[in-house]
Amino acid sequence: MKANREVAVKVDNLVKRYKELVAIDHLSLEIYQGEIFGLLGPNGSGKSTLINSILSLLKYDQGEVEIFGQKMKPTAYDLKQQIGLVPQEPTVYEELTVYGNIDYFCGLYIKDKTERQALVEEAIEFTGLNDFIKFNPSKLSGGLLRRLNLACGIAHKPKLIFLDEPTVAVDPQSRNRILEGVKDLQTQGSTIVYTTHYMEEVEILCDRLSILDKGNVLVTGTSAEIISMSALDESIELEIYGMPDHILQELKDNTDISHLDYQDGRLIIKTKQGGIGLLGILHLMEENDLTPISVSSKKPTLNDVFLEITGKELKDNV
Amino acid sequence: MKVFKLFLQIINKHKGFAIMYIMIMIMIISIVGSQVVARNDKFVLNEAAVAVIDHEQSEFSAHFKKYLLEGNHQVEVPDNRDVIADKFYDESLDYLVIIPQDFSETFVKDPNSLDLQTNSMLNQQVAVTFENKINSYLNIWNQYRILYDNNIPEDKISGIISEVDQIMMPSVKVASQEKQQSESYKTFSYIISQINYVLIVLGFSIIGYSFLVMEDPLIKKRELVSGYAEGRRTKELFLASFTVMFVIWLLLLLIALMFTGFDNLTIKASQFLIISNFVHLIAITGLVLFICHIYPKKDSSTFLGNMVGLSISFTTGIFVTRDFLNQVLLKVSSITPTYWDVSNAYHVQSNMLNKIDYGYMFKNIFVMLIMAAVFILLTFVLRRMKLKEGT
Amino acid sequence: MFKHLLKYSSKVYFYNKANMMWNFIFPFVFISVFFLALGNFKDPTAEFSKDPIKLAIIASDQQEADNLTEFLGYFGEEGIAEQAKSTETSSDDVFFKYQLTNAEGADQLLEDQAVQAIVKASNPIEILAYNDLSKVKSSLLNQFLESYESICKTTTVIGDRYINEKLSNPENLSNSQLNKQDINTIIEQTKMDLKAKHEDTIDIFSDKSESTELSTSPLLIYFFACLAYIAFYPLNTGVTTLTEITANQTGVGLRNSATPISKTKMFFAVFIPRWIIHCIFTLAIYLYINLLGINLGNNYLQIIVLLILGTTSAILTGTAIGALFNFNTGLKMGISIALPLVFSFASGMMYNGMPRIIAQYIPWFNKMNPIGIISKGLYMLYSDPTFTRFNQQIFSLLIIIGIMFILTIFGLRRNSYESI
Repeated sequence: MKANREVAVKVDNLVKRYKELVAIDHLSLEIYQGEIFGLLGPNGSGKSTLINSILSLLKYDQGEVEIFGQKMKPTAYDLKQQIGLVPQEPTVYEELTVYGNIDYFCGLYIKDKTERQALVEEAIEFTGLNDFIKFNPSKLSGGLLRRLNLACGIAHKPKLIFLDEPTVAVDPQSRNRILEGVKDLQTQGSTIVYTTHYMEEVEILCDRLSILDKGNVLVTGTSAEIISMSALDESIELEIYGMPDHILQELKDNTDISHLDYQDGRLIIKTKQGGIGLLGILHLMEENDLTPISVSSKKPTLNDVFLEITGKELKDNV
Repeated sequence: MKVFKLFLQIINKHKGFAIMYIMIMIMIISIVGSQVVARNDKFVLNEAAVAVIDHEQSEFSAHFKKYLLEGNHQVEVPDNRDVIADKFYDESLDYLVIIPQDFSETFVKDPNSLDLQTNSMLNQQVAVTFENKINSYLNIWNQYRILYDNNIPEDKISGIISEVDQIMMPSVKVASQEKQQSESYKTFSYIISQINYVLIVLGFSIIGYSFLVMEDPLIKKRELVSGYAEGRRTKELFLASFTVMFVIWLLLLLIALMFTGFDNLTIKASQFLIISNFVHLIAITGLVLFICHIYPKKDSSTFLGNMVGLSISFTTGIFVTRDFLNQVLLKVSSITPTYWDVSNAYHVQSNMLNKIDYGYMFKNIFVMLIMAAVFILLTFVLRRMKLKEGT
Repeated sequence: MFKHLLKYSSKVYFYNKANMMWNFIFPFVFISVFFLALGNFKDPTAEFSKDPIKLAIIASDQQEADNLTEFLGYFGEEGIAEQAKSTETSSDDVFFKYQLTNAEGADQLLEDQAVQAIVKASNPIEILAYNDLSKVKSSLLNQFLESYESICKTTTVIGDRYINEKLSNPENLSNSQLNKQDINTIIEQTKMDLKAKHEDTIDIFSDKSESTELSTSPLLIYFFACLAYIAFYPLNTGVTTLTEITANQTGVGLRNSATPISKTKMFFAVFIPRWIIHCIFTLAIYLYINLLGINLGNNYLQIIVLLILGTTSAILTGTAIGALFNFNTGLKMGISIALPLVFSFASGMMYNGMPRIIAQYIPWFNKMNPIGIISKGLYMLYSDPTFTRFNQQIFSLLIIIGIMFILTIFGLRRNSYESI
């Protein structure tokens, strides 16, 4: 589903301090209805603090939060009714079964018993927990527990869902299930705020994303936009023998090319994004009757961009 | 010594809890200790709070009042029914005697019409003791009344008062008192047995808890994978447990000595009590570790300490004197090391210094040593079994 | 919605094994141990008769020895050998067993642990040595001998006065000694005094309570404090209750806080089932105490009200702690165990002299100690026929409940937190 431009969450100039530490530093953000919005950031960048502040669970020092155009407050129960939260750690009652947990959390939103029963069953189906409904959480594997965690947060079909790193430390099968589920939720019309460390998840799932560091939004946009915003070069490598000097000179003179090296038949070129690019170089070779034996090109990834922006590696927060 | 240090770090992380518990226990020991020291006279079981309202204000009534207050705590009360009742219910008054205006005259003429008002609320024991005390006093005066044909001359009152004082003065000689020997070791023995309760509670709450945190499969696995041998890990865990318990014990011992005097360190009976208590410390630590292996729930360790501590204390005679305890249950409690240490404390309390049987005390210490060895050995066996099972 | 919350909060509580273990099994175990340990009081005199104090009397002066043994004859019997069980001579009056011997013989008897003390029949009387003589027994022995001494001294002093003053009414004194009737009176008093030391809890058992309705024993105070401790024990339930609905304490607390349910509604949903079950449980313990044969008084309705209020104050104190302080779980558990212990200690559960000490030095503490208030309420019901002072205790409890409730709601109304 394409994101329309109605704002689901609006964060304006948010500041949250823990004594001397500024966890959120004049942060502003808009999340549109119907989109999957990724929140990327290294550990301690303020992702969870931001979510808790948006949900009014944390007191913040300055700024405003609006959800669906209304000011978010701790007592804004009508807004909370439309929100689903899937915390980072599986947060369920050990004393209740899988069914009991989903039914309990769903029941906090849905009064009607029949409707609730249908929703619970749908959530069980949705997360693939059918075979485990009578299990207690302690008997579930890590992946199944995360699925239960997800089911508890989405069973009531919220319009806005906060998913805080839902795929950390889960097996590929459960991860795929969760990712598919998230996509389905979007299809059903939910707006999803998704924090994760996994770049591929963001690239697959998110319509837009923000990179956070030290409580600041460093950049916001689609994956492609963010990558294109980066100053990182595309690296092109050709295996080609007998390169004439004038062609090498022509390439060197090209302002799009930041670096050129030719040794023992290996030509390595680094070209700025949006510049001459691989196709331009191949075209030049063709014009001069040169045929490379092999060609490879490496474009910057979101991870490279992230590293460039934050200077930090993304790691699992486990 | 990584495991040793980590154990201490865990305790340090929960120092708020540990300090709170230690402070509470020190407070309990201090209050009990100060009270025991305050009534060091071993033949006084209870000091009662007594009020005497003297409406006669005669030499006779003044003497009677002095006699009643002797060895008790005097409480001043007005002759107001409500105030007196409040005092009784506030537990600041045990016994009240109101001497009427014509007390001595009535008593001398017709003791049967004596209008001496007494009142007690707190307990029967105090009431009976005081009634007997009053009766004894009046009986002696009765002899004088008979002697003077129901009419004691005014001029004789002073002489009789001093004679009654002489009669009522304690005169039974007790050998140890005669020898001017310090009785502080007996007080010390009482306080040191109270320490046992504290050690059991703190053993579970602090050592047991920290031990179980260390035994968390994730932490344990990580340490074992890092090349730390299980044997070495166990050794360090045990060493850390015993070290912390030893430090707590030392602190409590210091408090006990502060209340009873450091001279106790030179008295053989006290030395034996300290050794006994130290061995009890080892045995209790062993017991704590053993139970933690049987019931490894760290969140329950405080509850467990509470239950075990109270149960052992009530059955071995720490809180209530053994004379009043069910003898069968007392015998059953001998499966705990505390029974044997408390037995040593009782032995010291029940014997004169030169009659203390150190062989008996040594035997009790030996039993505790055996128990300590059994608990530690069983713990090792359990650890080995669990290791083999891979849990 | 509220029904849904009630249903699940009850489930969560009852399916928790640790809750069941520590909140329900422990109090029963504790009361049972407490009762068994102090069960000896059911008939302390009988126990005492089974184990009289054994004395060796050294007759350094034959007259003194004769006087002492004659006096001792009223309280015990000569001969220190163990009696056969079928012997009927043993009665409540056998406080002592004694044997006349010389110094060497006495030492030997003490050495052999055949006697517990050596008494020298002299003027004044002396306890030369003792062995394995408990504090209570040494107190009894001393008191007995002091009574004997006072009789002797009275006899001598009055005799001397008679001779010195040459009084004209010698028929009232038989050869400068107290007459038999007076001696018997003193002996009876001494017996009563000795018994008083030992029979201090007979009245806790219903069959003997009628004669002592207006007085209580130190042991009954132990039981009052013990029941009050059990009533206040669910403090930890209150503490843990709040963790489930407070965002900055547990994961489920965070999750519950993000839902459209008000904190107050959620609080009542988790509080009510726990409160009901703990009140029922406290009353079950009270019933159990009655079944054990301990009579805490006949004002059953008032006792029930008092215990229910006590348990309510406990849970609400716990919720107030949980709502106001963000301690870690370990510390919370520690507090929820330590607080009732401190309160019960101050109420005399471990040392029955404590309420007096507290009343003397920190009287305000008694007014805010819920266990002390419950314990005192039980005591008032037992001893004050007017209910006036009992009502004061009820009022104190209601104030505590009110304060704790306000503090809980105040703490809960902080809907967002400084940190999570």
